[in-house]
Amino acid sequence: MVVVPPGSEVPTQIVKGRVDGDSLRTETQSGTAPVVNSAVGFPKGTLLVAGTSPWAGYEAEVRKLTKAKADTLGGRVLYLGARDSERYLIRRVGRDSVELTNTRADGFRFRVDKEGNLLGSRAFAGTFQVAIQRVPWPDLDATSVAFQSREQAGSGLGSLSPRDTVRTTNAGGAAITLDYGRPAKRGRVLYGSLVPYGQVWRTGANAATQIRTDHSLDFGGTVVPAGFYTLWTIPGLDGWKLLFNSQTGQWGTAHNASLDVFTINMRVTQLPQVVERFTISIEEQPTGGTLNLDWDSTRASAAFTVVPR
Amino acid sequence: MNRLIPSALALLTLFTTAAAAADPRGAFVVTLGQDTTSIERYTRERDRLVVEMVGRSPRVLRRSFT
Repeated sequence: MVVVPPGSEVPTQIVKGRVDGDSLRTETQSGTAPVVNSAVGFPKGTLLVAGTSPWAGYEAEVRKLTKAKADTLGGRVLYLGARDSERYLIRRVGRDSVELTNTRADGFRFRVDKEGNLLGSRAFAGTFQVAIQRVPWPDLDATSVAFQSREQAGSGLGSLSPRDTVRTTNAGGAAITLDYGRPAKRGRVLYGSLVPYGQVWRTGANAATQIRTDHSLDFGGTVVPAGFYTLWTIPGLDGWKLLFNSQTGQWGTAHNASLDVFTINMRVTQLPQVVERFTISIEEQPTGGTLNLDWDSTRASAAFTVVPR
Repeated sequence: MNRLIPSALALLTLFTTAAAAADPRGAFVVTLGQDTTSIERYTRERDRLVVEMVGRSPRVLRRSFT
């Protein structure tokens, strides 16, 4: 893999991979940093794809499924950069459609032609919620210039879900810090679709949302002791649940329900305008505060008082 | 943000659906909601796959995989 900024001939990163028996050995050169070598083992026949760009690799497998006139095709896939390979399964679900699932919980439904070429997709599971659409052969030089012009005009994409921190020292005297990923709405239907009702939501993006408080907090009679927790929610049509979990530092897909230590009822209200990027805030009050989770036109809130030491 | 125009996309799809069958090359627009995150193209060769892409996040970069 070679990574090059637009308008430059000098790569910022070169990753050279070599299949050596049942291992993929990679040599990564990033800028002027020392070369990093790594090796990952995988079984024979494993599909090798870039995690951010697996489509042509998936298409090759769908073409095999189509040629074999089979209903299912499975195997192992190694996403470049991952530490281990994982299983995938492609299943025909209609004359012109197949579904692909893998053990990292991605789920895609592809529209395909009679040869098995991918025409388009939508994600139906997982956190890799992108869609693809087949287009004519593009001029990547022109595309690169167009994207760069937008970026220079201030309309670049930036990080898709940037990390942010909320700090307060004035909510009833407690010092509270939250850190979380901030996904954007991007025109999507969120609640009841991207964020299903009745299921645990990571309440952010990427790494799990974390909260640290130096005082115990009383949420309507449920006292959360001072400490460090991850925060999760279960959105619902009639109300949300806020979960404090004793595990910290994990990825936002790794919720372990057995480590949930407190469950708080949240109040749900409609916001006067759409909030594009998921936002957590704490409204400070003399004896405590209110934790607000805002995204789209929904606010979920939980009021607390600070327990004096 | 890059808003894709549905009618233009439909037209592109019409052209490419027929062409996809015989062509060892292909290309995809990748979107997240209404935003285009990357455009990529690939060529299937006898014993390898060549993928080139331009992505927009976290900044515009070209990547190629062989």
